[in-house]
Amino acid sequence: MEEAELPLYSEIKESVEKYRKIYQERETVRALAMITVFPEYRKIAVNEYLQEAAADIGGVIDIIKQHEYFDNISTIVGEREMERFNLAIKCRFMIVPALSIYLQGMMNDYLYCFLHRDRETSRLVFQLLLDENQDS
Amino acid sequence: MNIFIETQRFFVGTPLHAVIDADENFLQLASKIRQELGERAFNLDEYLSTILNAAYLWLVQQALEEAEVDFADIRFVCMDIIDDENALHDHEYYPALKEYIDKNRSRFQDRYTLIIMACAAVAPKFMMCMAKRHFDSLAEEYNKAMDVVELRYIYRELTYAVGEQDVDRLNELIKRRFFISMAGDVYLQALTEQYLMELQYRDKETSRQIIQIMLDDAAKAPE
Repeated sequence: MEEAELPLYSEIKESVEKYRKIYQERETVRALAMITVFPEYRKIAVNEYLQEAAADIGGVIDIIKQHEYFDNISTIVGEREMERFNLAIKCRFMIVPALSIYLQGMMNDYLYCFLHRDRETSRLVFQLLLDENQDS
Repeated sequence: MNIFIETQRFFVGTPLHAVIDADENFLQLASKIRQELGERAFNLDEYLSTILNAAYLWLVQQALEEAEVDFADIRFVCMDIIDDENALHDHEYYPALKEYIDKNRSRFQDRYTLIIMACAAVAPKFMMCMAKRHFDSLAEEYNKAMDVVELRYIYRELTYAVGEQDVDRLNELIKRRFFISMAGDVYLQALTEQYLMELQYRDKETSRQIIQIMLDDAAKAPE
């Protein structure tokens, strides 16, 4: 079965089975399982994202050449001036790093899981999680 | 030290471990507070549900799209002036752009260079207006979606019951976990991306990039 090869398949399955025994509603089980595996899943996704981003930027910037330019300009205008210049570029153009935006982009679905209202118990999923934490 | 020393510095800012730690500690702390609250545990549930709903309110994609649309407005006004259509005469960007274009129209043969130079010359000022308008509309949206006074009241209730330290720590964890980048910042970044695209355009006549032409102009300008 192809799905079995997906990352975290067995972890997701385990968690679905655990919650299926407790809750009847499909969406509640999905949300709880998703919240459980999300931290692990995110690690994998972020790693992939970073590799892609590095490759993309590597295709545009020759970082070694950039170092040479930085050093060459620094010898003429002084390193402190160049540092200030770099900071000014960073402040002006890099307000939010790409990775933060990527991570935030994941948040909407994730938050939806916490805010789903289980029809059986009439409680929000995050309340169910807190109940579970308190009982254990 | 050169802050752009590694490729990663160009796209990683959030310390990832902070986000991941927040993941692990958020539920534990929330459960601890809830337990201490005893019968008044509903306060915490209400507090969390309000804040999570607020976090759910906006989409990254939405900020990116709005910034693109807002920035395009400047371009439309520029084109309107260059093509002498005068349809956008009442637009707030019109006077400043008109002044720049009239002064520089004969300088550039490449139409798009003129548009971008005009945008770039006035963009910093307009970006402030756009950001302000965007922040105002976000504030309105948030005020509609949540009762800030009620939220403050619950916060006070919680701190009376379990102490300020725990509630503030919970706030910090919520922020790190769910508000990794803020709506307003993402909007500003997206506006900046639009601006950056313009700065990289290469003038067809001189084969120079807009940023180079701007630096040439700045060097020529009297102090």
